[in-house]
Amino acid sequence: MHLFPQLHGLGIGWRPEVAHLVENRPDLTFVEVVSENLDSKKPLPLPIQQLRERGLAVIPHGVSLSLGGAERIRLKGVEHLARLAEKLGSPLVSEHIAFVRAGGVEIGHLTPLPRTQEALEILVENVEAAKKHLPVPLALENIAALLDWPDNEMSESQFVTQVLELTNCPLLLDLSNVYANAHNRHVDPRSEMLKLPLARTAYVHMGGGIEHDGIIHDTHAAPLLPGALELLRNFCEIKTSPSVMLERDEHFPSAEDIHAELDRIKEAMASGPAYAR
Amino acid sequence: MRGKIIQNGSQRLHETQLALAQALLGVGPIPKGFDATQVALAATAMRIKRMHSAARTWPELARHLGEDYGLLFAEYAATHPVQRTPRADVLEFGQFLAQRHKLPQPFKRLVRRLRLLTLLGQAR
Repeated sequence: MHLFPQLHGLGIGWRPEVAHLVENRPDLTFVEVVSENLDSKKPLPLPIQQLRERGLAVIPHGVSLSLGGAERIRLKGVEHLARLAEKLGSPLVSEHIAFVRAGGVEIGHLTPLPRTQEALEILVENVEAAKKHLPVPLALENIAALLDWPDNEMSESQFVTQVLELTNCPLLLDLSNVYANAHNRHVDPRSEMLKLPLARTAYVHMGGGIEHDGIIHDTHAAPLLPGALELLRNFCEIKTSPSVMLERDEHFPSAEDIHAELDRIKEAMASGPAYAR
Repeated sequence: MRGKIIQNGSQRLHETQLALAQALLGVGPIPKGFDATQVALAATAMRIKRMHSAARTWPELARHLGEDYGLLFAEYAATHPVQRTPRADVLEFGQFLAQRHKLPQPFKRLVRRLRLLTLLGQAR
């Protein structure tokens, strides 16, 4: 029995560049689509329709709701996600613990929030407003942050735990982001991960990154970092039947290399105790 | 379009979010209390991501500009806030190049036509 909605198995972020690979990889059980790239008022693109027919779950993943912005969220964006979830028969949708705009200025990037009581209340209010219009649960994702606000009152894990508990939302656990943030803040990635509300995990993101001048950048344009894969193995040792997906957005390598990345994820997924498989 | 402030008392947070947004886009100073190195690093990462996304959206333009692409895009990005979609952003970049006579005729015509289509699309 699961307390929170869950996916199962292996997934990938669907992009036109990997469409062919997805078609030819029978062990995939779900894909995620960036909701802003789809028109929810038109028929679904053919490749996506075919994935539905094949029985894959398709998860709309939003990047522009700005749930942590200190202004009311745009209803249009939520309704778009809701229509996509209906059309795709999705078990859930997902968004980020971040803000992307303020006062009409679009940042074009997921930007961290101050981890304060005030910011938490605003985030909870926006998530609740979004949930009212969504037909399925809304999973919230932890982001990679290159900067911290000066007036934090709690740790990232405390902030994430609070928002998920107050809104009863599932967690979209980005382990590459946990790894990058821990590395950049000089703390242990595994203990940071263990402080998160892991029981709420709906699925896991693994995205590649690069290390430059001692700082890890979560680019989704490079191979998975060994430390992030190690963290995934740690996670799979304690999480029964995990569902994990690869995120690749740029500098697409050969199909062979993407297959190898998926294989590495699959291998890590198999590292759990035998009774859990 | 300006969003409505969500709660009484969150006006200051809203103002700081706006100030941070402007600093990250390189059109405002770093808000008080923030680590300047961190904000600069995040701003640079964002500019690079924006440049890649523009190149991916219109690869022919990036190929045509070749080695000059990075510098020209940096110059454009310093004075033009990011547009709503990568497509709109690269078209705006095209317009910027056209105004500076750095665009050969076929690209120029395409930019004019696509911008017109975008405007018509928004008007609908």
